[in-house]
Parts: sequence; C-alpha cells; structure tokens
Amino acid sequence: MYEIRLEKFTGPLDLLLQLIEQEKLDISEVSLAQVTDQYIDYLKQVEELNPEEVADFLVVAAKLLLIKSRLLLPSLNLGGEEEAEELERQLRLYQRFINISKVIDKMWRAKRVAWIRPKPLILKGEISSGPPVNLNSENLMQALTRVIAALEPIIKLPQITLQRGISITEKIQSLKAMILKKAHLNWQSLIKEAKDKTEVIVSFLALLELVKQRQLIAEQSALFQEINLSRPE
Amino acid sequence: MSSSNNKINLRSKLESILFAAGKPLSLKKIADMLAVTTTEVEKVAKELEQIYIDGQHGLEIILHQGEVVMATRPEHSELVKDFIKAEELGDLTRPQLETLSVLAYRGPLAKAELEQVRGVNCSLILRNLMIRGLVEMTAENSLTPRYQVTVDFLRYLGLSSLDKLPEYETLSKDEVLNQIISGQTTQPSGE
Repeated sequence: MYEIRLEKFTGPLDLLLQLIEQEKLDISEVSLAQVTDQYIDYLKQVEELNPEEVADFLVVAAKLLLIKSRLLLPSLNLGGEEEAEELERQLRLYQRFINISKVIDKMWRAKRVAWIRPKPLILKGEISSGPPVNLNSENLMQALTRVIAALEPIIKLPQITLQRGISITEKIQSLKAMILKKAHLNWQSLIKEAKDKTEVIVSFLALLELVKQRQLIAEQSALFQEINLSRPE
Repeated sequence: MSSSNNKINLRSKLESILFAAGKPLSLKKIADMLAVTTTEVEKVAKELEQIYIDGQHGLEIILHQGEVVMATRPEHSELVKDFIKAEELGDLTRPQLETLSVLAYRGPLAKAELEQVRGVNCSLILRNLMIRGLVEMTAENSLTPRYQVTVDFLRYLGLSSLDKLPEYETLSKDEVLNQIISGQTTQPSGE
C-alpha cells in the first residue's frame, strides 16, 4: 500500500485517471470496474476527511460501485448503463485537458511574456501635468515652516524615550556581583548613588527577588533602621 | 475621402489610442471614442494584429473577449522584463493549470459547467485564480456568473489570441465536450 493524501489529487477524476494509468489500462467500463477497489481503498485510508472535499470523491465512488456490480452481476439488470458511459466520457475528456494543461504549463514556464506598460500613461483623477497655480516661493516657504513646526515634537520625543531604563534583571545582576565581592552590604549606602526614585524602587524589587531566591539575607533590627545585607553561608 | 482611406485612418487612430492606453481597452469603449461600430473596430484591430505579426515589429496586438491591448513581443520577454523590473512569475499548481486549460479552450463557463469537466468543486480555485488576475467574470449581467481567462493570462503565455493555442479549433468545438458541459446529470456537490 502506498502513502495516501487526498491533496495529492486535484479531484476524483485525477485519482481515477492515475489509478488507471498505473495499471496501464485504457479508459473503458472494464478498466473502471477493475480499479474500483483501489479507489475505495484509497478513500478509506484518508484520515480526517474534510466533508466538502470528500463529497466529490464519494460521488465517483458510488458510480464506480454501480459499474462494477453491473459487470459482476449482469443478470440482475441494475440499470446505470448511462452512468458508466458518462463517467467514461467524462474521464476521457478530463484526460485530454490534463494533456493540454501540460502544454500550457510548458508555455507558462517558457516565460515568453508580452509586456504592457507597468503603469498606464493616463493618470486617473484631476491631476494635470502643468505646475499648480498656487506654486510660488512665498507658499513654498510657508509650507516648509509648517513642516518644521510639525517635526519639532518628533525631534523632542527621543530625549524622553531614550532615557536609559533600569531593569530588575540588571539590578539583580549588579547586586549579586556586589554581594559576591563583599560579605556585607548596607542598603542605605547602596541607594545613595541612585539617580532617581525609579532606580530605588527597582533596586528594592531586585533585593526582594534575591531574598526570595535565598541568594541574599536581609536583616533590619527595628522599623526604619538600617537594612543589612549578607551572603547566606 | 475614399472608403479605404477612411479605414487606414481609423486603423491609425486605433493604433494611437492603444499605444497611449497601455492597458486593455474594450472594443466598445474604442468604438464610442471613434464614433464607429464595435464590428468596425474589431475589424481594424485584426488588421493591426496582422501588420504587427510580420516579424519586423517589437510590438503585438492582443485581442481577447472584446478587449484589445498593445504589448511588447514575447520574443523580447526577458529584455523588457529586466527593463521594467517586473516580478518573477511563480509556477502554476496542477489545479490551477487544469482550470485555466478548461477555461482557455471553452470559456466563458459557469462554475457548474467547469465542475462538470473537472469533477470537483471549483469555488476556491476560481477565487484564487481571480486574485492572481488570470481569470475574471464576464461583464454580462446574469444571475449565474461566467468565468473566462484574462488578457493577462494570454500575455503571460505570449499569445495574441486564444485561437493560437494548440488544437484550439477542434477542442473548442468538440462535441463530447459540448455534451458533458451541457449535461447536468452529474452535478458536483457543494454548489
């Protein structure tokens, strides 16, 4: 048995045609009956059928079963001669288009393209090719002034955004490094060099994190007293 | 002015318009501009196509489903492509090729008719080909839209009209095909 995926086929006729060609058969009622089992096996092996996609495959499966039954039990007079003929005709025609599509594929890949202008010469709308009536140096100067005025807030913006933020991770790293060098640290001396409130807050959060991770021991003798930091032994 | 002079005059007017437009124009629109009938425009457009096809011109006239455009000769495809910096065209998938083949030889077709030939639901593939600009709905106003290949599709294949396709005459009028397309006994699902 072969690996099956329905996406490999462009449709039920494609699957049917490939099965017949695989068996080196011509398209006929007999050959259709011959590949019926393979066709149905194929459908059985496909998992997670998308109902919409599979419906077309099932329509053909039903026709194949009728054709096969008719050939196996001619005495039963099942009817359906027309269906057999029609499927045969449909498949032959499909085969012709498959051959044509190969020719078209070749032509497409030959890349013999007749190009047209990338953009049409005629511009849509009211745009005319002459200079606008209000084009003069005074207007130009005013326009530029407006542009500069509009740019000002944008130029000022980076000064704020570029202010270096201090992340907790960074603070944790530096606290860890310090405590490795010295056995004891004092909190008040640590924040003496802090540039702003944010840095103090970040430092404190880093301190809490390190205490939580048991990489640091913080001791305070009484409320608002000095906080002494030390390495856990 | 004699009538033959008139015709040459009309042809040269058409040539100027096609050059200036640089995109497909409908015969109807040109006819309105030149105050003549669509048939007359089509006739001079075909003459112009013949003139350009002589192997001495760098341009060609493409005529397709009532539209006409002036384009560069497919022989110079690479050269012009580099000049206009056109994007590389990706390959076509098998379902795309199948659908385009059927529509090229037998279009315009309704979706149900196309499905009759391919035996599979074609909604998605039609949408995908329309997005790629290779298939379009016909301009006619009817309840069931009909689909056909576009002028762009012809340009990409380097064809000046669909009847230049191999075996076009036989296949486009094929009896078996007519029967299958018109026979609605085996409607594919998922209409």
